[in-house]
Amino acid sequence: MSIIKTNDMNLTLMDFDGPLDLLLNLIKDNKMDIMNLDILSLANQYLAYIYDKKNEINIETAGEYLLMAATLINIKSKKMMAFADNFETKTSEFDFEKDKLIKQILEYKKYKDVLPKLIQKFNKRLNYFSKNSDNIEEVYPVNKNISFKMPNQISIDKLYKAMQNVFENWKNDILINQKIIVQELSFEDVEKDVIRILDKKNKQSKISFSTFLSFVDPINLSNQYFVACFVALLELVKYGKILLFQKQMSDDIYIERLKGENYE
Amino acid sequence: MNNLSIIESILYAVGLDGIEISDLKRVFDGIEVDIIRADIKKLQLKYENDEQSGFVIKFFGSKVLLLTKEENASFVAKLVHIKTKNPLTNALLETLAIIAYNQPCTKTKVQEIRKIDPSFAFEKLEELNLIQNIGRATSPGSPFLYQVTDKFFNLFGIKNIKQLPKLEDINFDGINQEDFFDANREQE
Repeated sequence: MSIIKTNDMNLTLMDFDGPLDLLLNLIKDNKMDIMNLDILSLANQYLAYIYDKKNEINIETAGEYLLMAATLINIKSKKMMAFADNFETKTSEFDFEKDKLIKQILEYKKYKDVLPKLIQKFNKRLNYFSKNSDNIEEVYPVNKNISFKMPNQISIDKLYKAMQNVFENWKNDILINQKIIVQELSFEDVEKDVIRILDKKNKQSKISFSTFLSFVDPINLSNQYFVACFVALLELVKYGKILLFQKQMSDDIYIERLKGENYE
Repeated sequence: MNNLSIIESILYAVGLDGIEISDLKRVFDGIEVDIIRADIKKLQLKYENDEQSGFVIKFFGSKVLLLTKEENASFVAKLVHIKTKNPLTNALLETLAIIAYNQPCTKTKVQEIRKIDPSFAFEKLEELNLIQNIGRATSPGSPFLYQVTDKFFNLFGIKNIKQLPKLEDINFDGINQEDFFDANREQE
């Protein structure tokens, strides 16, 4: 079997626009006549090509190619069955499937063949020049005396575009007016906070970590504060100002202020 | 005031955006669309007959544009460099063509013809503003219907769908009758 010129050119599946494109290429390379298509030979070549590329096939991107392969195998099997079984009915079934596929190929070819003409139109259009629109908002004076005449009716399409513009401007306004506030926390400040709260609540000598957090000014509460607070607690433990303990694993952590030491 | 003169000025000012006749109606109080259209046609004819003018008026979809004449293109291009970027890949162009020839067109229709999932192409074409969603079909599952936009007509320089190049007519009957021909051949 001659596995086509496409192979010599080292094309990958990605170079084709779908399974029908690949089939059309095979037909063209082998100078086959679509109207009298030897579907079995075409199927063999397609399958051989897919088999050849089996290592580069990614199910997600090549699913359609595999589906076509399955269709072709189905057609082939119908032909083989025709010899074995009831010849007439199976033959007509085979012809039906074959015609269906040829129709698909022809239908696809119809659009593929028109593309060069469209590209020709596209290139012809490039010969007409025009200038940019003067409808640019920036050049309008602020106190414009020009009043736009509103249309009596408006298509949904235009309304949609107008709303899109409004939202776009609105979004830009918000972005311009928004400030990003960066809160800087020093461990010293947080440490003082911790001591202050512990001293205020020193009727009970110990206090659980979650109760402690409930006394913190809610405005300050943020991930950043939480982290700073945790580091501050560790610092305080290190210098012997407080004691941290836990009765069991995953129990609340208690903080105890060590008496008799002043923290400046 | 001469309406032709006003239209000419407006067409110049809007440039490559073009303008819709319904928008021109807002300029001329109480003048019917047909009359405005006739005026534009008059202007179009005037440019066409005037060999000394470098302009031409074109209709792309619902938009009217004032452009330079095609035969001057090679001269204009010597001084004015317009970089064109064509974002349309072969796959996108194929999808676009299928939508244009079958509009209003569903995704399924494109899938049937190309045998490949068209979702990405639709997304991309909508992003490029070349196709638009115009509602849902009444068929089961009420799929979205799409059609091409004015930008599509502008891109290919055509006035409407009728001006698309003709699709080759394929006689599908020939395929179905293949059996018959085969039988004939055997008899010979």
